[in-house]
Amino acid sequence: MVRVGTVLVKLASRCNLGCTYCYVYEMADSGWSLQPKTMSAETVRALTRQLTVVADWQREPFEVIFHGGEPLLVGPARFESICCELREALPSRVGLGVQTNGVLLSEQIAATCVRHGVSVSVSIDGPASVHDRHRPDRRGRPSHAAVLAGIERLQRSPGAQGLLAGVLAVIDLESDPVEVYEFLKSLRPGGIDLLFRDGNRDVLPPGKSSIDSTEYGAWMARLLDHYLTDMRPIPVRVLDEMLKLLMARSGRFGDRKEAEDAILIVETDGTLSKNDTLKGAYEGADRFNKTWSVHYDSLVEVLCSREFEEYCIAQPPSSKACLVCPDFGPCGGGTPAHRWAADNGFDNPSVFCADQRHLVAAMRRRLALHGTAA
Amino acid sequence: MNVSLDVKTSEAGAAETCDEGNSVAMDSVTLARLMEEVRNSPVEPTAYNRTHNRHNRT
Repeated sequence: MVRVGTVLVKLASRCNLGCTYCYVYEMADSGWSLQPKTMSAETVRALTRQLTVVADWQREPFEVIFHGGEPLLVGPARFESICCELREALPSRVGLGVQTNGVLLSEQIAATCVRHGVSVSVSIDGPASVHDRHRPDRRGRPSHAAVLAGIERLQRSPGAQGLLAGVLAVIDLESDPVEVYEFLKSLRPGGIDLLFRDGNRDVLPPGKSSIDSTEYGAWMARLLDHYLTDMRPIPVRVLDEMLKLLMARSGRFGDRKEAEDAILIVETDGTLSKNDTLKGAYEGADRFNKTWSVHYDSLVEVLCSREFEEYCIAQPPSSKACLVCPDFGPCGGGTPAHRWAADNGFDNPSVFCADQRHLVAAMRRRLALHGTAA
Repeated sequence: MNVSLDVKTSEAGAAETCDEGNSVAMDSVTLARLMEEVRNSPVEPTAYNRTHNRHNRT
């Protein structure tokens, strides 16, 4: 049975930054341009009703994450009313969170997050010299100082201690991983997570010279070396998960297909779409055959539909090369977007396969050195 | 799971492991924490293929 882990709610379809690598605006899909700029009160009401039914039906907890575009473009008053409506309607086991670029984090927004227990994650790529290379505002001006000011406002707010659940950085191969980590750590987030730059087997990610090259793996391995010797570390989620899978030796994704939590995307107009990272593959890759909407379809019926089940089953890797790979457990085989090739769809190893193997090998060496099973 | 190491964290933040009486220096605070986590709860297979990687959850 499908189980929802995350409902990603696109409160705004536009963004106040113009990140050069954005998978929403700068890649194959232009669906965002057809969406209303922000989610209407009617759509929020319909979504709230639907999520209440899902929470009753599923019983197990899930998370509602405000996303975009830049979700805080709805403004502080609307953000307060949206959080209030959802928090009042949903059981406390349903978590609320926001993924923001941080620029619009105001005292009012912080107070709303405190009041309704909304965890905050900020997208920031490292120190200004790294961040401002790819994350300018809409006029091309650097955004780093504005992001830092937003984080400061959040952390200064009464009761906001611990609300900065994490920071999320996109890797720039020209950066020094140690410098990036130390900078992100200085922001005192609950955790750090890192994303590879987008790409697929047809369009290589920036800085990757060939399908077999290991530039991203080498960057991550340098970070790993520093992370494992840091005496006051902050958790780096992707490294932690891989290390734990190596330690436990139980990471057999193929056995767990049906247990994977599904992610449901609610677009600004209330229509439902697949994992939005698929946008990077081809125009419309994230759309279902049938246009579903929180306004006129039952979310529970959608979750129980054959098409939704097929979408969930297609998320884990299926290529033979992955299924027999000794590193498949800790690696996981990559996101569908990274597995894409025009000639055979998603049935491939990730474009980062060599990088992942490089990183897993570095982890195995490190664990052996520390006398820990791998 | 085949990990059977005891981990204790020293005041300085460093950790040591003891494997059936054989002490092995483990100077990694992170590995000590992860070891505890692996021992105390099931490991979810959610590494690089996780579908939630556009936001940072705790």
